[in-house]
Amino acid sequence: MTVREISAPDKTLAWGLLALVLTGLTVLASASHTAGEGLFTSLLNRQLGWIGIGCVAALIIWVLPMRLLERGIIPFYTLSVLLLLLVLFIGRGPAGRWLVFLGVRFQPAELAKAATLLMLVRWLSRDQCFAFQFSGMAGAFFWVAVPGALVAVEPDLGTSLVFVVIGVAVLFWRGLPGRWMLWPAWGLVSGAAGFQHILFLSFLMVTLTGAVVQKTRRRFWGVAFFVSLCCGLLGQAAWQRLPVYQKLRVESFLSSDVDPHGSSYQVIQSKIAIGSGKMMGKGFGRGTQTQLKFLPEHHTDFIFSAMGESFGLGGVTFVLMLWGGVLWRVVRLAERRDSLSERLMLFGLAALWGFQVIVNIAMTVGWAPVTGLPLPFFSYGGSAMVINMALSVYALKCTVR
Amino acid sequence: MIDLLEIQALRGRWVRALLLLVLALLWGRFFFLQGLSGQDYMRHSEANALRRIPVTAPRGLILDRDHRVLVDNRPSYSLFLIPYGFIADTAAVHRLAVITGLEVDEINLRLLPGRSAPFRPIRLLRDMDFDTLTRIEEDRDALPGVYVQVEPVRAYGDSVRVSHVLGYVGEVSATELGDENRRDLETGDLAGKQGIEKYYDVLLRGRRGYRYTLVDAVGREIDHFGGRRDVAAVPGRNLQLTLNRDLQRLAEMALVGKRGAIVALNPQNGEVLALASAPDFPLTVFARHLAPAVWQALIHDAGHPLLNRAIQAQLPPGSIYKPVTTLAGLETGQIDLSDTLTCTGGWPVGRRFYPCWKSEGHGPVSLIEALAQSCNSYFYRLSLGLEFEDWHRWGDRLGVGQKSGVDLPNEASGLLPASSYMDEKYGRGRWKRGQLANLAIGQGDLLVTPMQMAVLAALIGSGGRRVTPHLALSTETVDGGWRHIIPDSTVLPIDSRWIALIKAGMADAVNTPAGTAQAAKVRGVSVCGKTGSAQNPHGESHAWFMGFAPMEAPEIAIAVMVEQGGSGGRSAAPLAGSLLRHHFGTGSTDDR
Repeated sequence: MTVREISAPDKTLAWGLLALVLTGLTVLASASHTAGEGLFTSLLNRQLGWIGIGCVAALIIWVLPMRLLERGIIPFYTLSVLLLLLVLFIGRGPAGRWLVFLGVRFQPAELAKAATLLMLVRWLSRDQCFAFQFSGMAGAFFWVAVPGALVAVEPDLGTSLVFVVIGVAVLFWRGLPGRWMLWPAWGLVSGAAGFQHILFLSFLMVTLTGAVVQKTRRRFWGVAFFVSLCCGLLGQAAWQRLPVYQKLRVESFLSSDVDPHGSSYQVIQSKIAIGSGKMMGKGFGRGTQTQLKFLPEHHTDFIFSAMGESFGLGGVTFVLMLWGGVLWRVVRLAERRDSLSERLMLFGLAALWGFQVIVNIAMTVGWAPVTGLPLPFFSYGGSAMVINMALSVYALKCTVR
Repeated sequence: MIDLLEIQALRGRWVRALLLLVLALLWGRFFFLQGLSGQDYMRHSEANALRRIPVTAPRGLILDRDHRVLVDNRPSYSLFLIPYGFIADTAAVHRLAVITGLEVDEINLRLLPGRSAPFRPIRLLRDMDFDTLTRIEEDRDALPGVYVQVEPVRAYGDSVRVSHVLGYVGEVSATELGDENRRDLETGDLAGKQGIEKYYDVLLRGRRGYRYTLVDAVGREIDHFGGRRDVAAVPGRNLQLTLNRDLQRLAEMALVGKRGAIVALNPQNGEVLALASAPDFPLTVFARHLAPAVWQALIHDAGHPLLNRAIQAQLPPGSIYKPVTTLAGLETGQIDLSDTLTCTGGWPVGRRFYPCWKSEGHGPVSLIEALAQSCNSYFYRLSLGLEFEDWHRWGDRLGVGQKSGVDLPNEASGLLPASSYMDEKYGRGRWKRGQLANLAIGQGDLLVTPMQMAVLAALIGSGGRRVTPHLALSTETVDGGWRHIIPDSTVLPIDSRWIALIKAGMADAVNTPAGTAQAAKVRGVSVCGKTGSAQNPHGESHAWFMGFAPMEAPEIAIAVMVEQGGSGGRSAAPLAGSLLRHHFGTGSTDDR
């Protein structure tokens, strides 16, 4: 490996990622802008500080040899799981999802997303025999389930779904036969069924009946029963811990006329913000919905609505194309790289970002429930920014020719 | 590996196609919102903007046991404002002060939450009078962001007051918002503050609804979406109380001009038939904006009208406690039923002579006569043979020194001194016979509430059933039925012969010429009663009555307390008598 080789990552992807960071910063500057104040609001300055930290992290990852980085995956994963455990006990913030160190807040769940992805890629990069054996599959399930469950009981169902997506995506890319994909899907469905006692019990009854009746396929039904039980109980635990407003969010999304706690208020405001941006937008820092605080969470979850208001359909098209291009490129690279671990890493990252991007944007137009998933590189939030920058550089390193 | 590359190439193609499809769909959605409907949304945003106005749910009605309405709702005009335009605009606040008649400082105080939520409406006035309403309507244009909304407020009948039991409703305070059962409340919501309104708040308050409207910059409504977006408020559930309105009125009338309390219970199940405390306060002042001066006057009134004496007054019981001492004496075998004691106006305890209330003495008295005539000497002598722990144990069993568990907030528990308490107060070994002699006749450190004495009366009357007094009889269910609320009661194992003796003494107190409680007599009904006059170092004695009727299977148990009323026989027993005569339907007050 020479210096020459290291300095040649995929250029298209590098430019695309840089464009995302800069666009995200511009949009945040616009959303946090207040009339009569300068460009650099305290919010923007803080985010710039986080980007600085992200650059340092990126540099370290860029300089260190890949071998050394890979050795750090297990400690990194262990640390993020421990932090997730910690957040259950001393979590702060409105939903108790932050840890505070020396006055700095950060969200262990963001760390855990990256750690889970890395861990899973490492685990499944071994030879075919191992990956598709019972121990390989069970391990993969375990690595995803532990942080996923910890996040689910926080409770943060939206984010725990991200873990499921990472798991399914990496397994999918590892070439898992389509019929095997049944299990994660089964787990997901029975986990959701855990929200409701009757459904949960009927899942258990059906699988149990299967095991009794179909003697030849007893093992299949046994696993099905086990998966239903575990995921259902998990779903049940998460639902129980869910605050009233979140239960109502789910219910209000499922039936549009239930809305005592105003999640559709947010969506109505979001749609007004986006719609009123029209073709070219109201201009930088001049979104009335955003600036007059009609739009809630306008620099975190609903930043895309603020963008739509200020920059119009033109801005929306640009950002959608930018994200589309980056994701396309990452998937394309995931098809072409020689090393299996690089391919898995790239595809997993595409899934991690793609899922959050699509759910977040769909939420702003009322097509997805208000889950609180951030828009990578755009939503204000230090932990996510640093992690996403670090992941970007790691991905670029995977593309080095 | 070749195999996997092929799979990935195939799957990659599908994934990328799916990505494009989803992004294209999303783009289409944005094109629809911004390109096609942009003009509409622009109007909405310019109109500035969508408002979500909380709609107060009507609270559940409160009924008496015969479904007669005690607390109703009536529509009223409330004044709300959106704080946005008023923050840092002192001129607007001053205009508002002139029109509403509120102090500028008070308005600024109410505007404080508006700093963090500038578009959440704040309620400024409740139940406005017509003059204020007219003034506001005339000056609408000068007051952007101010609007009037019709809200239900509590309406009270005029036959009974029941102030302490019903309690009142007010805006929930910041500290109350942290409560476990108030999670669904927000700043500005109304919640029960006292009495039943507080205790059963979760049941009574219902769920707030919302009106979604579009308003322009001056706060005028321009679109209501035809009500399609509105969320209807869910009315609170109706609550039926155990109170009997007529008996309650009688109890309240009996206490007019006095300081005291009356509690009447059903001794079989603890249903509270009447609960009055005097002086009381008009609940209507809490339905509208409570002026600070009115509130100050209420809390500084020397008569403490906000105090619910029935459950919060803690006084020595005096002689009505003698039945408890009697139980201790019977259990320990210290009472010889064939024996009499000759009262000469007191009894020596240690080196001191403890006086009976009748200075010329009662002459020879048996246990029954001692109870009927409330002879202190008998109980002084009894106390000499008693261990402190025996005396204490019976009080504890009968619920003295413990909250009765009635469904009202802030009940007091009274004080049943234990030997550890006495040690601490007087020093170990420094208190002995004299203190116990005093405690045996219900004086000294013993403190009880009228509610506890009503429970005691019920317990004796029912032969040992210790009930949990309760005011809620049943709640209306969603489908219009009524669900009964029945709290626990326990039956204490008490020898029926002992109960019979105490009942006989209490019956003689009411029905024999020498008895102290003759004023509670009812023609044709065997009333049992016991009077007490608890010494009060600050003035006249506190008058007590405790009793039940009829003797064999009691339907009603009563405790009466009149602060500084003097003799229990003269001040408290007649009040019980009037309630009992009403209950048993014998109107006449003669035949003493």
